[in-house]
Amino acid sequence: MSTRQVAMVMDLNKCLGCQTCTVACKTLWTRREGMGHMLWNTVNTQPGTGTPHGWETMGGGFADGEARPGHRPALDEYGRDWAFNHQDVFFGGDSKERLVPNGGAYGKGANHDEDTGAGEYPNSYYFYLPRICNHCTHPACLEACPRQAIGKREEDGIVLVDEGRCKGYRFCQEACPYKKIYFNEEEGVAQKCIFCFPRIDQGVTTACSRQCPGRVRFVGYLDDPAGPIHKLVNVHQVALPLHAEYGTQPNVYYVPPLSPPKLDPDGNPTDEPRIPTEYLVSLFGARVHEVLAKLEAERARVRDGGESELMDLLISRKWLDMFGPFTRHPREAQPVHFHPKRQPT
Amino acid sequence: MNVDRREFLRRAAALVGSLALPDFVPPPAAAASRARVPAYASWADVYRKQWSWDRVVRSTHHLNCWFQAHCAWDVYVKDGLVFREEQAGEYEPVNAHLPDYNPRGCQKGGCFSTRMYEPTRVTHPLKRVGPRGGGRWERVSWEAALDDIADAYLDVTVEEGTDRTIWDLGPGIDLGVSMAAQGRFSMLTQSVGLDMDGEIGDSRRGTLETFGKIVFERSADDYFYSDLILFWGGNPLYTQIPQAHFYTEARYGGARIISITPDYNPSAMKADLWIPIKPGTDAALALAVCREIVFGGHVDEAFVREQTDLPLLVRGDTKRYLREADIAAGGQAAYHVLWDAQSGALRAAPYRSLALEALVPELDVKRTVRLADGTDVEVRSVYSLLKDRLAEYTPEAAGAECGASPALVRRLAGEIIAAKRLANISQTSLCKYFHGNLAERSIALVFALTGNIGRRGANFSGFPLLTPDGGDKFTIPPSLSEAAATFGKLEPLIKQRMAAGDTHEMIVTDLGRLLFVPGNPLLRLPVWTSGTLFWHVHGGIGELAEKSESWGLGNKRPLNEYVEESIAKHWQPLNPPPDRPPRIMISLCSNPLRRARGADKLLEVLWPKLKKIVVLDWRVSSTGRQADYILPVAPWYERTSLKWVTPLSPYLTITNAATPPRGESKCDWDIIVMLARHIQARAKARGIGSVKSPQGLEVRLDTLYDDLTMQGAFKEGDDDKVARTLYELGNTHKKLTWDELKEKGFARFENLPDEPSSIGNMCEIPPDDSIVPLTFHVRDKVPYPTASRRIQFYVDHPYYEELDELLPRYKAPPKIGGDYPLVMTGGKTRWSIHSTWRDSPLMLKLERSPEPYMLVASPDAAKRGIADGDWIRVRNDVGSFATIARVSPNLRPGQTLMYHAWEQFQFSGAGDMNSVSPTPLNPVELAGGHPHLTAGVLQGQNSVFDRDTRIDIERLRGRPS
Amino acid sequence: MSAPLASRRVANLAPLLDPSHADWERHAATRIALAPTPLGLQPTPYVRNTWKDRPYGALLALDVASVHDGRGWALRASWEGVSAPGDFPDALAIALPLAGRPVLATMGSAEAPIHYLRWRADREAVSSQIAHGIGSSAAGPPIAAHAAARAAGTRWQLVVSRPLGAPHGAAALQAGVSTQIGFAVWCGGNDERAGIKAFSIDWLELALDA
Repeated sequence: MSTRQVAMVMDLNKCLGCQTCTVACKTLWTRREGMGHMLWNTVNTQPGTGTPHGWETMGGGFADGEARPGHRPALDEYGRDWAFNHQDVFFGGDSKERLVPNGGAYGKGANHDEDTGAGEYPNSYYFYLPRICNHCTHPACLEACPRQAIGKREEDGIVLVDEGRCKGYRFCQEACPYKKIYFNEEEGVAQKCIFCFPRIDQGVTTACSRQCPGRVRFVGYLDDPAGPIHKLVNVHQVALPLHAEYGTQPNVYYVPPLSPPKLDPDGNPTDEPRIPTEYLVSLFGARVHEVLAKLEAERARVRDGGESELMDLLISRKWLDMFGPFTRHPREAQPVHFHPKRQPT
Repeated sequence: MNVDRREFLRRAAALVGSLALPDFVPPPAAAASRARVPAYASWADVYRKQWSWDRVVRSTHHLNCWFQAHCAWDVYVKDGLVFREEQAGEYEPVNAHLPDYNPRGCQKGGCFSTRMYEPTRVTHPLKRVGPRGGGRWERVSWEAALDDIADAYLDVTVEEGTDRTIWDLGPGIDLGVSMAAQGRFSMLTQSVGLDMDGEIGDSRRGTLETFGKIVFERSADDYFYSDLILFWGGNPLYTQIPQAHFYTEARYGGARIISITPDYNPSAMKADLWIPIKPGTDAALALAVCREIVFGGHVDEAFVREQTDLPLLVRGDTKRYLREADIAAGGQAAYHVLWDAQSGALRAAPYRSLALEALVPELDVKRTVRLADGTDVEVRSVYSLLKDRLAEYTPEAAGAECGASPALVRRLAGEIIAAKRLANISQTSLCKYFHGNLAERSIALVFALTGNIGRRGANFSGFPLLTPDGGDKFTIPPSLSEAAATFGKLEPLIKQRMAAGDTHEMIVTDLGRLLFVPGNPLLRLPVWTSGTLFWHVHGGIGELAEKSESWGLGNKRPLNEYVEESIAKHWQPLNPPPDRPPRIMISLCSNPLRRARGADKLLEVLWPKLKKIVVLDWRVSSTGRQADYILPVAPWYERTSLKWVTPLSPYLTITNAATPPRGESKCDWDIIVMLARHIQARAKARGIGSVKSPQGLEVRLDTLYDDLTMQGAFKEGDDDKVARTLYELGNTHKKLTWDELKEKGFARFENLPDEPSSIGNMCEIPPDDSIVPLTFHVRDKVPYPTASRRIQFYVDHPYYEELDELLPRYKAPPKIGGDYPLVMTGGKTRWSIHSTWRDSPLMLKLERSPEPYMLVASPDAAKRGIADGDWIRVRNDVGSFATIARVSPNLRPGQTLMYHAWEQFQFSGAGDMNSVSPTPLNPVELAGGHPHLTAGVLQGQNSVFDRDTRIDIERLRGRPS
Repeated sequence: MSAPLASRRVANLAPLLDPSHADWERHAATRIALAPTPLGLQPTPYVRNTWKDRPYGALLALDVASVHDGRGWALRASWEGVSAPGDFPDALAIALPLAGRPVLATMGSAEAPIHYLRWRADREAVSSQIAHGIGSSAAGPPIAAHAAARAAGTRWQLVVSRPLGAPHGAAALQAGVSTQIGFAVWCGGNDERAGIKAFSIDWLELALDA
């Protein structure tokens, strides 16, 4: 157990599925060799197979407290890094050359089932589920590693792979029930979301949260009574862990999605949300019922002219209020180890 | 692999340092950075090093993001290269009640730095080798390229005329630094720029018909004040990523959202009610809502009496508005007439103001009146006519047309009636339907009847645009010192019109219309013309409509008769005229072969007419592939520029050079100025002095560079100086100096731009509250720029009478392309801004499919034996193409959908998604000779209609070769 | 403990660095019995739970011969089981005690470390590692060790070589001196890595000719 725990709340009612978070993470962290296929942050359409495809059926985590065997995802399940033929298309001298990755044998990308979901028109439904490493309180990856190469930082509970110790045994990939660990073939080590520790160490929130145009992600310490995480998770209790039954005590929490009503066979609206609540329960647990009711009740209160601290929190009129103590502007920070001569602006 | 850990860390760090992106490892830089890399003690330091930089520069992306345009970014530079960007996130709160604008941005902007170093980037002038489109190029010097283009230009201009050179001005034009160069070039040479607003499908025709303008929109935070938001003709979660949070947050602020769309799209997901309807039937639904409002007694009578034409009287005999001149000798022909209940008499409607003063116009009028010439004629108010029209639109009847249940129609009407502050998000989707004008008029009627216009939180969506207004002062006068004298020539006209009761808005709008009248006697201006008509006539797109008789367009005459009449009467601008083929095309921020519906025809018909095709771009586009020259443009992190924004995010946002232009690339300003220099030099060398434009203006070729640069005051390399000058010439921003703006990167508009493309907003831009367009009309009673000076639902133009569109109505969607069972709908992609990111490996990796795909409704796919991921052929009477089917439960059966902007070279086999879209002209858009149905800047011109395209699809065995 | 593994003195080591060189036929191979590492010694519950019902370390015999020329030492190992390329490579490690009397099965201890030379089928280099217990291996002395491997049908033939002596603190090998040696073999095709392997159970005596 760490002394403190940083956590994230993602409000699925605000997620746009735009993947700016994914891009923010990708351009900052996973551009080294061997990282081409990595998306430490993903956003997938639910219901769907997610990334890696079918991750919810891949095992890992804990059952009755016992480490549960899991599948080690293959590159094709994550979606490969594709090679494109721009040069041939533009300069190859063949007007029929077409831009196609991997000669057409590209398999399924990470977001292969974008905007598909389930159900039948006009009662089909879907929503977006962004995911990062859950920086679990009981990390299955950490406990699986025979090398003790995975650590949980004392000061904030960020779970990190020590790439100096890692030998690439990949038990962590099997053990993580969320399948948020990638393997770098070039470097021979496991790599995953680092919760932007170089930024956090400088008081700057994570790239995925700060760059999220939908203002989906709250960041802070779970035990900080002034911060948004504590309020959403512990006080208002509207943010729920994903697949808590996996037993790892994840530290990313989700505000479950509302949805427009189902239509009856005559095309008239019913009182039932089109996302089956039982499906949401399967992801976020039984408290979904209560949370959805609370969100609607608080909306109604505001609509009637009342005040709601919960709605104010979820709106976050001042954007920086979303990030607890991590409100420093990134351009004012600079990792201390480097470039002492260079500008602080 | 044989890499030990320490060596590996060194390599990883070196890679990060040198940005070893595909095909871009500049050897010296890489070597230098490798030498500097310290031996890392820790893997953690590798990550810390990744998040380190040398410099941060505030910049943005100046392309046509339109609704989601302009986000302030910090651009991080390391080792001389841009390695990432992150939103500035420094928008100040507008007030305590409204959510702030932070962070703004999207995934495309978040990876533009990668685009700068990808193989798609052009860094040197390229000249075609072999046939056009053959994919062979040679690198040439700027000197050689520009001399060759200058000689071709001189040949064409001297031998065939000044109007044979066409500027293909794509939707990414900035109305800033680039256009300052192009505008001066066109003003001086009378070469012709294409106005693409209609050609890209953004005509907002019904809005023009109703409001006399298309440009008016609120700030996105104003939606936070609404209590009911209709997503109707817009998919803002998908296409307004930077400001979509205002909509989701408005829900937490108490607003309800209703989505009306055929498919369960990503915006419908955030709605409290989704109303699925058949594509192209929005007018039926809207008119049913209007019926419930009118017959339920829910009309905001005070609003419609004052602000709309509903009380105005229409003659039964002529179907034209009754004018004061009709009823009184010496009466004004311009004055409309109403029935005043107070006095029980006909009265001229207020003219100089909307204020009714003592008048109480009766709404429901049907009576016989005696004209000045003694004849009796039946007159009816527009309201009375509308009531008859609306009676047809019972929820049952409308529901049968649009596919929504009667209960759902009533529910929608009920929620609208109950709303205190109704808003809509209607982008440029409805106007891409052939009868989209009728849908827009019908939806506008919902807002007018309920008085939800021009109030905080309550407004109808127009087209968003906000342009800094220094451009004209730079572009039009011979030099800056002559600006006052140049514009002073307009003073008498302006005074005269003001005295006659015209509004400032009307006058500014009309000045914009002069761009379409070359050689006009008032002012020497750049020349603009209708892009759609240009492609239709000169480009050959019109040939695709030859089969249109069978498509159910409802025309009363062959389409060409309307076209010929319109051009002959100068109702719509076409330059050069049909008998003068274009010879040179210079594309600026444009990619018509990707964009134009039926673009195959351009290659077949237009291309052979063109002696030179020059594309200015930073990447290889579909059009660039078919060009004679690609001239490398420096993209936005390599130059200073400023650009129009929109009221949705009312912040002028500039680009700054973070790194020098790569290779030999240059900004647009430089390239156009250099072209002028070469033309001048070649003209002198060849002994060419001046020529006359077809309208008789003198065009000096041997002093073109001197004139364009104001005798060298603004020359090559002066993009920053031009930007500063434009900024300082404008009246929209006074709080920040240019230098402060350069540092900050963005500045909120302070004043409404005095400029044709923005004046239509007609409101203040408050520093501490949301923007509420049309305030000057609704609050201050300034007349609208329509024929009736009111929000106008009755359009008494002969074409509207001929085509039965005098009043809003519903017309069933035509079957464009032939009688095929499926409708091909479309929309802006989430993954690119037009084609700018369309071939980005990262974006393609994150999308549903890295190749063009069509969404197909599950039952339609099943019926044809098509499985998800299958290759299919799409076809109709005009063409075919192959794509991948993605089967979706969210599409309405009968509907297919292809998000846009795939490049031609991304389609396997012959054809592309435009090959099946013949986009016939709609005759009502050829109207003219009318106070507000006249071509103006970005409005009043023909547009395109691809949403009604009918197709069928069949499974292919595999990828076509 | 079985008969010692002899490392015969040869005049020139160089040709014997090739595992298929005919001279190796002159040096009789010793067959070494292997066994799976005990499940109970696997360091984490996850590894134990995952492998408790899954066979591993199934290789029963490793054929080993050794030579030296007074300067360099070579060991030729051959065994059945060439895996197709996959997530994990086939691999072999040679263990030599570095100090004290380490327990092979627990990979040594703080006081009694083990020096490993580890070859894996997807790398050319041999890595030199030091272990002070299970899961503790770290970079070892930078000894100039080499390997040459050949897949002969389904059988690996591998020669690992290194200098005699104790350069940079490597485990000592001296002509005329006996030491102990152990082996571990991983079958990559069976996802064997880390402690999931076959090993020689205990030390063997390695006797170097004078």
